[in-house]
Parts: sequence; structure tokens; C-alpha cells
Amino acid sequence: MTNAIVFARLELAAFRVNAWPMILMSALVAMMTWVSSRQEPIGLAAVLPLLPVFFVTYPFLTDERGHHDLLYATLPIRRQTVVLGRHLFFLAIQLASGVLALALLAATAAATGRPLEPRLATLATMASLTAGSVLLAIQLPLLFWLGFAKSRWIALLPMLVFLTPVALMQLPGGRVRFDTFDPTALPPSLLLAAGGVLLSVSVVAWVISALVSVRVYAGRRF
Amino acid sequence: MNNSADSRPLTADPVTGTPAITVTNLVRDFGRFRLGPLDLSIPVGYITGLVGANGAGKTTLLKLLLGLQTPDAGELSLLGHPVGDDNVAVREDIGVVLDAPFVLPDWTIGNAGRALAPFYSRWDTALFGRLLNRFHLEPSAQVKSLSRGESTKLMLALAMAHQPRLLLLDEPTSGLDPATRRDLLDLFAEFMAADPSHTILFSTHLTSDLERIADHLRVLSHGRLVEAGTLDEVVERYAIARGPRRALTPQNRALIYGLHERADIFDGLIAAADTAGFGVEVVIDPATLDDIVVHLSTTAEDVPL
Repeated sequence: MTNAIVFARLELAAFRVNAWPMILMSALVAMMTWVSSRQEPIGLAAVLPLLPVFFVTYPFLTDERGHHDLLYATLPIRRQTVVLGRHLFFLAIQLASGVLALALLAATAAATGRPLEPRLATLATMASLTAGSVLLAIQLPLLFWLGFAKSRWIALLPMLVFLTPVALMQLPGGRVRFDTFDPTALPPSLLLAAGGVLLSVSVVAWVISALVSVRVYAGRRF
Repeated sequence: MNNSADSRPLTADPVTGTPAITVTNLVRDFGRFRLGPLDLSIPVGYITGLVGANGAGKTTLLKLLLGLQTPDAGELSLLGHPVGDDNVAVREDIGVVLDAPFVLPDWTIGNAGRALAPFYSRWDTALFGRLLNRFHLEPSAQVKSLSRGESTKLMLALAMAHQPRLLLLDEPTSGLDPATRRDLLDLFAEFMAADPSHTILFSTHLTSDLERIADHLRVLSHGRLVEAGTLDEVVERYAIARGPRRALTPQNRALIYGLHERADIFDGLIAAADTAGFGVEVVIDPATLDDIVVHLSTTAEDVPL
């Protein structure tokens, strides 16, 4: 595990190279969400935790640009350390984006004077994190298996997944308004159960992703 | 071609009693190219040149040694440990320089050092700094701004800062100017002098570099080992035959490796013991290392290893 943490630090060092484009893109996505949700703060909670799925190809692109697959083969680490370290790295940035989403949610609610329902905010963030985890669990093993050049198209998967409901919502009668949903009307036990299910799905997605990635990356030839 | 094991006496690690590198019955088949069957050993305490034409299998062999490729058959071991994901700890003792840098082009030299240091228990930051000074490399310089020679020097500094016992070098001096090549060869000589257990496997097609520093030679051709031994042994084993094509007979043609015919003359490599097979019209000269590598790399005949 220590090596996986050290590897995650190496990922961070490589990530810094692409940090500015990613931060700018994140800011753009946040702004677009803010505008398209008619300044509905909850929209930020639903979208920001998903950002890592749009950046999933970056470390694999870095591997190819910097010939890092050769580097990893010279370091005294096992291939599974590369997989676990990269999963650890994405888990960390996904959690960080979740925290950022909640912080922005609170800040925008305070700034706009709109009431914020903490349970709805938490549930929306958790749902978004879970959706992100499931998508990452599809993307990461594929990228470990094929590398960036052969699987860069996987970056489009989240677009397809998210744009489809957005397009459907544009149909007559398809608009969903968050303010029509009253979480206080739901029994607390149901909210708790929903949170538990979302958390469980996330954990299972991460574990399956790591196990499959370890297996496919172990057999990869360079 | 001969695929028998390298049968020359080899120096083993004084502690473990094993060669630095052992390859046994190795086969890696890509369809259009097949490496092996290959058996070879690289002795501890020497610089061994691995030579062959482009596509002979040198880089594939290094990739197999690094675990980047998995063999279809056979075994490889580094410093007595089978190559595999379960034995990565041995890489603490191995430094690798390939023909292109394998750190992110956007990193600075300092970033690269800091990124790799935590992986090695014997990483010596002061040594890394001294190597950068020696190579006139600025820690603030970006990797992508480095020339080919500077990139090679950076990779050497990274490969040596964790104080390895074995250096695997793939074409480290190709494309470098003579002064830079001399610097690197001096560094390799210093590395070897520092500890009797130090070993270098040096893949190249620049025979002048091998003549200067290599103790042993392994020649690959079309994925097979066609010559092995100390540099002196190999050079003494061959001669160059030159003469008019009319002096060629079916019998003496069979004695020539890498027969080169042009206009009405020919030249080719022969075993030193076979000089009697040629008539007075044929001039026999001592073979240079270059002659040997060129002709063995292009021969389609079996070589009596």
C-alpha cells in the first residue's frame, strides 16, 4: 500500500502538468451548470463530482507522451501498484471534487439567498459520486487494458451518458425541476438507505475496477 | 544459425554465484519477427556489448528483461532473480537507459529526480546533483528542451542516482557527438571501477565504443545469438577474406559468413581456422570488430558458436 501511495504522488506530479487546462475546464463546466440550471445551486452538486470522469484519459495520455510504461517497468514496483496507485489518485480527486461541490453549493446558496436543503445536497453529491464511480469503473480497466491510443474514445462515454438525459429533458414536459422535489417529505430512513445503497455501489464499483484493471494490466505487452 | 548456449567461461557474482543476466531457451514470436530460441549469460563485473543490426532483437531482449514483454517460452533472470512481477525488488539494483527518455517532457530535470527518488531506498540526492553538475544539466531545465545527448545524460543520472549494480543500456551513445560519447564512456568506466560487482549490458551498433570499453561481446542476428565471448576471443576467431569472385567455389562459399559480392570482387567473414580453404588469389586479413559485427549481423548462415 505504501508503494501505491508513492505512486499516487508520482501521478500527482504528472497531473500538475495538465492542471491548468483541467482547472479551466472545471470552471467552465461549473459556470455552464450554474447557467443551465437557472442558478439552481443543487446543479453544482450533481455535476462537479463527475468531473474526474472527463479527465480519466489524462494519466494514460501522460504515460504515452512520457513513455511512462517504460518508466514503471524500471521502478521497483509491481504492475498492480500502478493500478492501485492510479485508482487511489482518482478516488482522491473524486472525493476532493465532491467536497468542492458541497463547499460551492453552500457558498452559492449563501450568496444567492436560496435555501439549501442539506439532505438533498448530500444525496445529490453522493448520487453524482456514485455515477462517477461507475463510469470510472468502466473507463479505467479499458484504459489499462488498451492504453490511451487505442481507447481514447472512452472519454466520450460520459458525454453520451449525460447528454442523453439532458436532451430528453429538452422535450416537451421533460423538464425536471429540483424545487418540485421535497426531500423533507421523505422518511429519514429512506434517505439513509438511499445513501447506503449509493455508497455500497461506489465501493463495489471501485473494487471491481481495481481487480479487473490489475488483471488486464498484468497481461499487457508493450 | 547456432542457437546453442553461450558456453564460454562466465564470471559469476562473488556473493550469489550467479551471472548478472541469464537467458534460457527464450522465445518471443511476433509473427513477422521471432526472437530465439536464445540462451545467453552476461557475466558479473564486466561490460558486455550486445550488438546486432537494427531489428536483430536487442531492444526486444531488453524489453523482455524489464518485463515489458512476456516470453512465449523460456526463462530470464536478473542478478539471480527470475524476471517477473513478483521480483521487482531486484530493480533497486538495476539502472536502465533506453534510446529515448522515459520521463514526462513537461517535467523539469528537478521534477524528474524528485518524482523517482521515493521509489528507491538507496536514492542519493547528492549523487544525483553531482551527476547533473558533471553533465552541465540545470535542474530547472525542462526535459523537452534537452538535446538528445542531454536527454541521455539525464536518464543516466536518474539510472545511477539509486546506486545500481547492473546498468542496462540500449543504444546510449547513438546519435551523440564524439565528446559526449567519450564523457559517457568515461562514466561507464568509472562505474565499473567503483565496485567489482558492477556490470553493464550495453546494446549498440557502434563498434568503436565497444572496442573502447567492452570486455565481452554478444552478437544477435535475426533474433538469434550468433557469437559470444570476450572481445579478444571473438576478434581472434575470425578473419576477412577478399578477392576476385572467380576464386569463389561452392566449397569456400560455404565457409563465408555475410558474403558480400560486388562487380567482380567479394569479401566476407571466415573462421580463422578456415583460411586454408581459399586459394592464393584471396587475401586474408585480420578481422576488425566492425567486420565481425557487420558480417555476422547480415549472415543467413549458421555460425559455429
